[in-house]
Amino acid sequence: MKKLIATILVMAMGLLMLAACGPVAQESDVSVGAGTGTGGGTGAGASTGAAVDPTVPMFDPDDTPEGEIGLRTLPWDLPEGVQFADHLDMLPLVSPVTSIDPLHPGAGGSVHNIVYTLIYDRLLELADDVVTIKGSLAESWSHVDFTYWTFNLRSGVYFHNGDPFTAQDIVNTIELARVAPASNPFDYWHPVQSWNIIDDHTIEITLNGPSPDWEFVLTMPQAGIFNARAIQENPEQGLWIGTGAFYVADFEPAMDIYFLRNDNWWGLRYRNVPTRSLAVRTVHEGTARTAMLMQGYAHFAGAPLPDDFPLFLDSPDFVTLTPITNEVWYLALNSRDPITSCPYFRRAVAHALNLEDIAFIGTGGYGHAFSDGTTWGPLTAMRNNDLPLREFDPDKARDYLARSVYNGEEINIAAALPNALLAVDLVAENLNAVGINTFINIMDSPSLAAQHNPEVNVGHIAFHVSSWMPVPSFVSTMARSTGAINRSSYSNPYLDDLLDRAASELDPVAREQMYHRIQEVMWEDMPYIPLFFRNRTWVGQRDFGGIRAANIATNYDYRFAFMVIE
Amino acid sequence: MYRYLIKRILLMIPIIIFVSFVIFILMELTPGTIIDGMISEAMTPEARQELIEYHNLHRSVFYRYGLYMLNLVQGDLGVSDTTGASVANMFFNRLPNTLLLVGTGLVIAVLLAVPLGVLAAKRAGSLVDNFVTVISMSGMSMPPFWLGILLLLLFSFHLGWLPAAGNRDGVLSLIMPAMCTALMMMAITTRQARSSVLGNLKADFLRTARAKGVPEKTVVRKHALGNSWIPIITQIGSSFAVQLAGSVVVETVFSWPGIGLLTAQAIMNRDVTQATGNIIMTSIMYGIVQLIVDMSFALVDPRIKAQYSGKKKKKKTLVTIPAAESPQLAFVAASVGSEVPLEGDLYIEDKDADAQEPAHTQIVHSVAATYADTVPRRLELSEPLDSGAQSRASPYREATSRFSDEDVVRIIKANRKRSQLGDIFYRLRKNKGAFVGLIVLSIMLMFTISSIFIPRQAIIESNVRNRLAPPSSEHWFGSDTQGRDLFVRTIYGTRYSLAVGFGAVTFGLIFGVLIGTTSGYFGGKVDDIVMRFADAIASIPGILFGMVIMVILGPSLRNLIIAVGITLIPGITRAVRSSVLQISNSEYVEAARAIGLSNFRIMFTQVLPNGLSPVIVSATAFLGISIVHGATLSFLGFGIPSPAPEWGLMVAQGRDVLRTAPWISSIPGVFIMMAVLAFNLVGDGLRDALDPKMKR
Repeated sequence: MKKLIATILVMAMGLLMLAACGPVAQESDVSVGAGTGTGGGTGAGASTGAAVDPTVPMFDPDDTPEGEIGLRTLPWDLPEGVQFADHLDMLPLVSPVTSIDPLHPGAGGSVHNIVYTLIYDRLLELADDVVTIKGSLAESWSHVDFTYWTFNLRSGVYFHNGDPFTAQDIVNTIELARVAPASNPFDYWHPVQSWNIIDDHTIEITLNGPSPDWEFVLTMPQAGIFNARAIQENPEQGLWIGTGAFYVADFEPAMDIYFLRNDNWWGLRYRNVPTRSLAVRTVHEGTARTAMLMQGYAHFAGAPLPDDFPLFLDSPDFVTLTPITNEVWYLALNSRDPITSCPYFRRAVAHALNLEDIAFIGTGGYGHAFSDGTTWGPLTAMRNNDLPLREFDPDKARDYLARSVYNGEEINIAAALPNALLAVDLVAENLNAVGINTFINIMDSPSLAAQHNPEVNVGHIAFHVSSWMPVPSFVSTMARSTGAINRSSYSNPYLDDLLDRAASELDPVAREQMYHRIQEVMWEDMPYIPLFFRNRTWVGQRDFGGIRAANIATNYDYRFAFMVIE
Repeated sequence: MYRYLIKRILLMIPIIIFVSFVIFILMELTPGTIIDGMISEAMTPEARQELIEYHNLHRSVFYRYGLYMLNLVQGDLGVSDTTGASVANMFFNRLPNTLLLVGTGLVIAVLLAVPLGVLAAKRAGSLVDNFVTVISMSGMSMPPFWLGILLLLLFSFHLGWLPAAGNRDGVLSLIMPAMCTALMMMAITTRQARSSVLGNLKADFLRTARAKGVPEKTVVRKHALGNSWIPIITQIGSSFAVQLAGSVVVETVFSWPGIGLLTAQAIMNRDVTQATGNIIMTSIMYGIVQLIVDMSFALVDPRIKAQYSGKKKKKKTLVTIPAAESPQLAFVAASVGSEVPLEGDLYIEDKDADAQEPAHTQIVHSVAATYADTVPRRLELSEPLDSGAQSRASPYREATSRFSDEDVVRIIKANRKRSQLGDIFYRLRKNKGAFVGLIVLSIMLMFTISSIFIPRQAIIESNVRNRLAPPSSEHWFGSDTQGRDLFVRTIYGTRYSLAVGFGAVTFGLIFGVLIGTTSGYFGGKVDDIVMRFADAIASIPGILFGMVIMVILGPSLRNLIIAVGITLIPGITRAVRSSVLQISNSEYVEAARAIGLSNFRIMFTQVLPNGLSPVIVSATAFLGISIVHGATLSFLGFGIPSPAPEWGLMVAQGRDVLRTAPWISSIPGVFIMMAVLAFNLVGDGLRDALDPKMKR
């Protein structure tokens, strides 16, 4: 009996503990109404005042956040006459910075680019409107037919180790990139055919052919200029040396990086960098990220949990931002498989999907279902907005299915953790509803990455995400038969040829027509079925600012982040 | 002493070679290579080929392994494929964090567990004792990942006292991860301390001490506790080694930059070099901790010290070892490479013992001896009342002399009416804890049976407009992130946990029994080789091993059973082998040999049937462990694929809405805990029911 009483006591304690873990009582000044709210530039959210449990986000497809297209910032201009915090703790993303090495193939993710923006300067960069390209290490530049380029370099620029920056450093960078064929810098610099150093601050570069998109490519964070001498002296840490606004003080791979301000940075002549030290930290657990923001252990967090976002949205203690990104989530249908390459089957899948629900589940309400038929990034240039959506219509899906080669086989849907686990459930359910048997094959990211390889890709459908660059030529990575992220194993010689011609076409009108045609072909062939693109969700403490959102995930800029202190 | 040390260190070499080979080969079998992650639009086929050659992927796996080992013997663990940093540097940078975490957890556990255990022992049978017992049983049953997120929610979210992640905020950062780490160690150590002290409190030498007028405090502290340190230290050492090697879950939940998190990330990123290096280093650490534990015995027990320093000669070794309350605990420890001394004054006659054989090894034998003895002794002790003059003179007879002979005969007959099975069930039923456990298991079995009638559509059908609905009359347990009814899913999920538990233990038993029987029966070189293999496998952290296997096999219930079951094999092998070692020297086995039965026949008709019972009884502990292990793999994303409502997966799916909908994670977490607790309670009860001393 005593043991029984003790058991009951312990259970009661457990229940008390669970009760303690119940929903947080809302602060009186926090108004989170029905719907997950809209994210305006300053985080003004919608509040319906409806008598619903404010902690439970209710679904309303008409009330999904609109987001903003183009430049959005948290407070951007530095306020005057105030004091700034010396140190900032940033939680950019869940994924960690594994390496400070742009030449390392595994160190090219979004979070790495944040770090590279702090450490390196590029020849060119995006202006405050994140559309206009302006000079950075290059004070001015010119080109002939997008093939012959001349860069006039800035003087008085020094690397973190004190070496002066000269034209030779650009050559060194090109040569370093050329021996790292799996890296992004290799992609950026490989069109370079030859160069000619005129003097320490002038260089001419000749490309293999016309490349209208190369100008934008040079603004990418991984197109930074390296210091060859530092790399030679210290192969492991030489790549930590750049000319950027911050230098690395401490780095724990896959965990945290600590930066100190580079007080010799040339950019200080034009714009103040208010923060002396900055930590880019990795916190894996979403709940922990939210808690750290609420407790003040972090000043800024990207990608808080969607269901936690309303907590910050209307709170006077936080500033928020929900810009649209070019991050497109899609299904890749294996073009080498007889079932998933069948056009009727592909149409059946497209009509079976309830994109609104999938988008909501996949993004927690902070995303948009595709309303047209192209896989193109919503913010990418030369998008063809006239391609119709294959709308959610189960009857039509069943019709197409009946005409397809499908005969009741189990369709393997591959998805990687933690990407869209919930959304893939819904995709499978939608397909089941029209008579397609599915098996969800959850795998880790490397296993999913291995699916790019046609020899390995024996599955049917894979759930993927791609961050589209704003330049139209990015499509070739997905659509060309040899494309690096051709996750469908798609091959269409006509399209390959069209992609080659479009990439070097100098006439903007003809170029746009070509890219529209490319999208039409892809819409017909359907190697990919676009699902949704998402809003980036950002939260900063009140009086935090200086972060701007570019239209692609890779162009975050933390250099001017600040926090006003009382 | 030094010879022994050197011998133990040399023994680590084959273990390291074996572990490195197993992990290297397993990592090679995982889908994809490091090249697959190297995406570059402009990479030419030539450049790709160059990369392949750079990583030696065009050569055989054995060539690459040979190359790896060549570097390893030169002290070079290689360079991480994902970070480009030295594997050794990465490991040793992270090691202090893990040592700090586990060490703090250990200190907390010991500081709480020993006084609690002593208190419970002093007040055995009281409410306090039962409270401590249930608390410790609950602690052992609570999945660490679930506890972690509950702590996070309580102390970071609601109370705002502690930082939620990382290690950059000083002592405050350490509290929650250390608490989480401490709980499991504390639970097991409390039980160990209680049983050891309790055993000593009843010993004759304490009665003598009390008779001499020694104060009760001194009796307990100096004599009872003082003589209980060996099993407690063994337990602490084993727990420390296990946590050191398997801190992956706590480190993941709290983003604690330790070696567990580093290794898990390496496996997930297919970083063969880092993963292999880490696991090798972890195995070495594991061996070192076990060695330190063995050495520490000499500090607390002069008899063992004498053995270490004695000259080599064959003699009979007689060691008195106090008890552990639960053979399950011993099996848990055995499964991870350590052993817990068992209950009672156990005399080991070690015919071939080397005088320098460590106490650690002797304790292995003692565990086996006790298991092997459990059933036969029970049968023997049920006889004495009827065995003539000898029994009439027994103390038992004297104690019952106030009854008439008729009463005694009636009682005996009443007892004899029950069959062996009925007798066991009778005593099981009298054990309240076990009875509660049986009820819980029965309910879960009913859930499993009733779930047959739940259409699959009911568990997968989403209703996004009804997502995150709190518990109500419509949805008893609320709804999940996709609006699916949690009650139906939780009930349906019972089958997965039970299947993983029973399936993995069955899998482990099949192989463990075969290998253990062969090893124990033949002994000698066969035994040496098999046990070194078992040691090597046991030194690989179970969760990490399971992760690698799941990556290779892919997500499914069957594969999860295999992944969990494989990690149980070394423990079961060791236990079976110990049991068989005792039996294979018995007279009836010698008789079987004498009449010319084949080894195979003797093993499977004489030895195995007599040695299996205690193993099967103790396997109940493995059921609980398997459920937690399976749920942990699912929680980490390596288990049963969605949309199956496996409890660990459900906890994982709910952790992103922990603040707004805590029921999604909490309810499956409670179910996991209840299932494990029930198995542990029944296991304990079963052990008691089969223990003759408990009958007395």
